[in-house]
Amino acid sequence: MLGFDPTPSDPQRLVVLSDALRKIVQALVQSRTELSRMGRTGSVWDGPAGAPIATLLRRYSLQLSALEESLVDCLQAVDNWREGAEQRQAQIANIVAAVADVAGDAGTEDRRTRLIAAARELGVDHDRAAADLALAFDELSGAVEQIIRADDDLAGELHRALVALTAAIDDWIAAEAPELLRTAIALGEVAGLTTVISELVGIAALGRNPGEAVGVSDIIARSPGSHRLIKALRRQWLDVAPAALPEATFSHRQSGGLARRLSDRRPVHVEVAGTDSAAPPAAASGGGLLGSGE
Amino acid sequence: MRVALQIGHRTRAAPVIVLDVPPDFHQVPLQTETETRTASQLQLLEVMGLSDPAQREALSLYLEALAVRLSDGTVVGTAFCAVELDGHPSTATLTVALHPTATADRGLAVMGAAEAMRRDGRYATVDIRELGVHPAVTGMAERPSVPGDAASGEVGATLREMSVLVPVPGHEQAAMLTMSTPCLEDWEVYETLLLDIARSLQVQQTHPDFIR
Repeated sequence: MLGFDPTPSDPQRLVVLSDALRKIVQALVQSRTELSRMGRTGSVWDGPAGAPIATLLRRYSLQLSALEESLVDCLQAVDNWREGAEQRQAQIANIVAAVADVAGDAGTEDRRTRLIAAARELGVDHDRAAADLALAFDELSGAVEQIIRADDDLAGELHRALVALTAAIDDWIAAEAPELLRTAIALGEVAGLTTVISELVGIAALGRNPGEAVGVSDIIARSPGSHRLIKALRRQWLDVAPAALPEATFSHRQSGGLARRLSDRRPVHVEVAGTDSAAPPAAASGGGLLGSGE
Repeated sequence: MRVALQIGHRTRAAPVIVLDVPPDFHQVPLQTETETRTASQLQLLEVMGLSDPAQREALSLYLEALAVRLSDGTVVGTAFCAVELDGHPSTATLTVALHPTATADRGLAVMGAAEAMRRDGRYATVDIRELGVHPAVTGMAERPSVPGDAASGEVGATLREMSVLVPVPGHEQAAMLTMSTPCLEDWEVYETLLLDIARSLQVQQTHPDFIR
């Protein structure tokens, strides 16, 4: 009817573009939030080994923040454009309807001309709004270029920091891991042994049916890790005994006094080499204590 | 219940690690002084409400055996709970060790421990977490008992356990906590509890009562 389209725009496609931009902004905000958490107290990056990586990524986070601002501006421009375009298209639709009303009426030429002029003016506004939209995208492009220029070696720096961190971790593992794993195993064993207490007091029924009558010794004997406890206790006492018990020197040659006292109580004869030969021979008892003496 | 673990030498000036543990957990007495330990063992027997002499004797002997077993090494405490959950009896064990890390860099200790635990293969899952202000490693394992694990050769119960390693701020030490239970249906309760206990870790310069 007008012979031209002063407000070309596809609102549906603008909705799609707006949604896509909104999702990108949300993803950026989430990423920036996660990156800004690095290095704070409680983070594994809060320490000399992780700090270089955290610093690099926080710097990257600041750049993402600039990109995020440009994207938000862009999104705002798209939303403004869509809203304006819809209003202008509605106004054009009214103009088209008015032009259709006066079509063929010879006395309304001036009115038709004014309507077409108004449509052209709307077209100019539309083009101006489009230029603003294009400018927002130009600024977005500039923000991306700035990131690229500012951090052309981000990948390289990250690589070097990661290699250093990996080496530090490997060194730590080589020195500390065996003992750490021994501690972890010990904890598991002690936990298993402590669990037996619950069964002793009747709370748990490890490996048996609840209510089944089982003696205390059976419970301990069948508990997970019980043989390790027994072994450990034996080892423990072997370690303790030599240091804790008085050393036998047999330096007092008291004519078999000890042997006699023992023989008074039970039929075991003790032979201490180098002592009174009057003491009965050990062989006669079938056993005894043999000391090396002096 | 606040459980305190001594860092370094046992002096009043030495800092301690404090953990908040629910009062349902009964600590196995591990004091080095025999008299103190025996008194604590008797107190525990009273708390447990055991009246059967055989049960009391067996538990007493078992407690003493555990104390002897733990008299050296890095395991500094063990406690058990015997509670009712959703109408059924339930039990779990909390075990604590202090482990030297050779670094005050908590991040390095956590990343190193996580990688070591993964390479070891003992754990089904190993994760790095932030527990409040503490970076930590968690490792979960299920240990089905096998014939030969018990002295009688019988198959016992399956125990599920989670270990948490929390580096101690400002010290070249880490607290390692393990929660273990044969009550697999209650696992979520105990897992949450363990993480809460680990989250509560604090270093205090005062000298409260401590395990050992």
